[in-house]
Amino acid sequence: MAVATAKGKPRYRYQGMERTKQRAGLLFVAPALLHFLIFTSIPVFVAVGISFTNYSPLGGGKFIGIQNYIKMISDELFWTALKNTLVYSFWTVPVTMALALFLALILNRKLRALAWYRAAFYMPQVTATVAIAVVWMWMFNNQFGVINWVLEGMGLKAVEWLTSPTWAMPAIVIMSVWRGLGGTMVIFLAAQQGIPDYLYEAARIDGANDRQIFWRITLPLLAPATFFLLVTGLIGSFQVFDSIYVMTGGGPSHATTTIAHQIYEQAFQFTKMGYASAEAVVLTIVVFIITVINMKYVKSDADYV
Amino acid sequence: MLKISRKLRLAFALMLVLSMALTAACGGGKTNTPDTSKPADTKPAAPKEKITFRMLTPIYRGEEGNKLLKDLMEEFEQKNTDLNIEFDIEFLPDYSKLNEKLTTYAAGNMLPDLFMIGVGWIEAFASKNLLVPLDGKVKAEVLADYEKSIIDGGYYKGKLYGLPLVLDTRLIVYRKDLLQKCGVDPNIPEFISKAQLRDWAVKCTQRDASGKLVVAGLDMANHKDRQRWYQFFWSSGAELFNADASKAAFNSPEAIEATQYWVDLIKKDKVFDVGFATGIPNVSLMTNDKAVFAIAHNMYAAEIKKSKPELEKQIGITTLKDKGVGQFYGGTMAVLSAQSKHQDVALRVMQFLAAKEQVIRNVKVEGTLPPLKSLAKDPYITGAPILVKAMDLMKYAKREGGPEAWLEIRSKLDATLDDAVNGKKTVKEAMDALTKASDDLIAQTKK
Repeated sequence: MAVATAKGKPRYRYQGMERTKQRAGLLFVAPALLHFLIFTSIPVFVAVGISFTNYSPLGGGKFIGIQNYIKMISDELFWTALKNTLVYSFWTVPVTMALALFLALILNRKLRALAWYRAAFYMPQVTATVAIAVVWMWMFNNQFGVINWVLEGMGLKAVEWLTSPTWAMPAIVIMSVWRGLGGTMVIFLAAQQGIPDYLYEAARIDGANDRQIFWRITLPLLAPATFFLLVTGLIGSFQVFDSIYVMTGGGPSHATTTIAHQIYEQAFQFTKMGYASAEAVVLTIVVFIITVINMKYVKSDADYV
Repeated sequence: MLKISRKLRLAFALMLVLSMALTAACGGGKTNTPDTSKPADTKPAAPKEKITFRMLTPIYRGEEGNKLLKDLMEEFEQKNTDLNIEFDIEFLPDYSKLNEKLTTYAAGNMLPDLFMIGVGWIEAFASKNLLVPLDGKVKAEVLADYEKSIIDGGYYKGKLYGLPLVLDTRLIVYRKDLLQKCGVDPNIPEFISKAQLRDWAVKCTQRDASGKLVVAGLDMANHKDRQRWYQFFWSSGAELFNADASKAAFNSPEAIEATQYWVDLIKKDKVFDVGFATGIPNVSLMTNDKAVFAIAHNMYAAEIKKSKPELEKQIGITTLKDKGVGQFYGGTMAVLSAQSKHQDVALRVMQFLAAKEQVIRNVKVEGTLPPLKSLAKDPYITGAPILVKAMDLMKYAKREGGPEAWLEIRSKLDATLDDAVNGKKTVKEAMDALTKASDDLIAQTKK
């Protein structure tokens, strides 16, 4: 029974409604939570456990302590993969973000067929990575690829893209940047459209030019989106696998093998689940550290007032 | 407010019920409908237990190959009327995903009843007790029809686990007409040295003014293809492992010399550029007049017959011989799964597929080689000089594999050739590293 209080709404009825809302909320998130627990949390803990064993899916496996982690320290291939992953992330994420921001600025104006342009740039995002990788593989072909055809047409020397340890990773980066442009651009676009017009009007009245408006208003106010894209971009780039698997298989000479690719090789080609799990744990820690560094040092709050 | 939350709850409950109903409706087996075709007064025979027989194969490829295997299984059913069998065949387009597939199946205790693996794979699977030994189940005269070095690949610790179904090899072939054009006598002897091959390949390599390769002196196809590299390796007197496969021998002086020769062909002699290809599917450089020598798969015989049969008389075949002759033979073996509930049936299917009549039908479709010596006189073989030579060279047959860790070692071997050609390591450094890594892997399997 509701009891009137001196403060207004009856306390009992308010608490009852809160509980009902909470129950309804829990009920709705329950399936997703269950899914997360069963298919994400539990496997993660199991993987951590397996990383301390020499388990193989073909049979056998016993507890070996931190042997897998010790082996990783002296594993040249692991460090090569880690270095390649960092190089890939270092180039892909900022270049994608910069180009996407540039595109977002252009496509945030009144242009003819604007919707078509936006759709065209976004198309790669909804296309299967494997399909994209196969097409780019042919585009980068030394003899028949369209990229070398263009280079030679410009009087430049053809590049041994996917067969050269020097050029294979840049080729993968180029493909990844092209693919990631659309999704990043859409987020920047949305964030831009959230910036109040009166700020631009005020700036114009004060005599600011386009460059000043961009650096003093647009870019700072895009900070939350930038931060989000940086963090998610880094997390995603550290897990790059499918394009490398299709285009280079980690070669030539391990020039494009990444941690995720190594995890796959160790687990499914060499059946060393224990070692692969250890590498996965290390990857998780590296990604976690980078995310924490981002959150600590990259300011994401933007004050419109 | 209360009304809305009740509606939401009802809607959620309804969604749950619907999704449960949909899930329950999924799957389900076939319903048994009574057979009404027989007259009512006939006494029905005791129903045979229906077996679903699972098979996994990386051969019997393409539409024709798939159809052949399905036809063969129908014939098997007709010959084995005591069985009520439904075949569930999984076709793989090639070997590239076979290991991953089998590993995943093994982990889930779901290996197919009968599956096919490469020569050199037996040790890896038999050591994990995933295969059924065949001792006493294969007639001696059948075993005698295989080349010893080939059937030896089916053994692990003295027990037989696999029967070869098809073989393949790599041959050094050349175009007599193109050799004449570059001033080399086309009457090349049956055996040549590596030095001779290099000299002729260098002489016949053509590049344009900018240095771009126009005609390769030697089509090496893929610089990290170990199966093409083996002939150079073994002809130099090198071996992959010691006698009992307990130690790798990749860094012996002979092995380093052979690999240095391989690297020099590309880097120093420039008889081939990595990635040089016709760009036309199933058409090799030699067919397109873009290579004078080639390290060709025996399937080249089928390619020539199909695309340019007039070239057949221009093709010559030779073999490397320096300190020895080592002709690589790979192939596919049928094995029985230890996880199968139908091992007896699997054995019968395997024996059927491995029999002469079935083998020759398969190799004709795929352009592969029969593993049985008695099939060397079959018109399919005698009608193609490349295949005649391939069968003749079986007396020099050598195979890859040996230790249980071979599947991992071979990946490192490919990577080693890649590193050596790309200059990431010197040949000696690369082979030393490979030897050490291989020894470590072998030692791990002994623990």
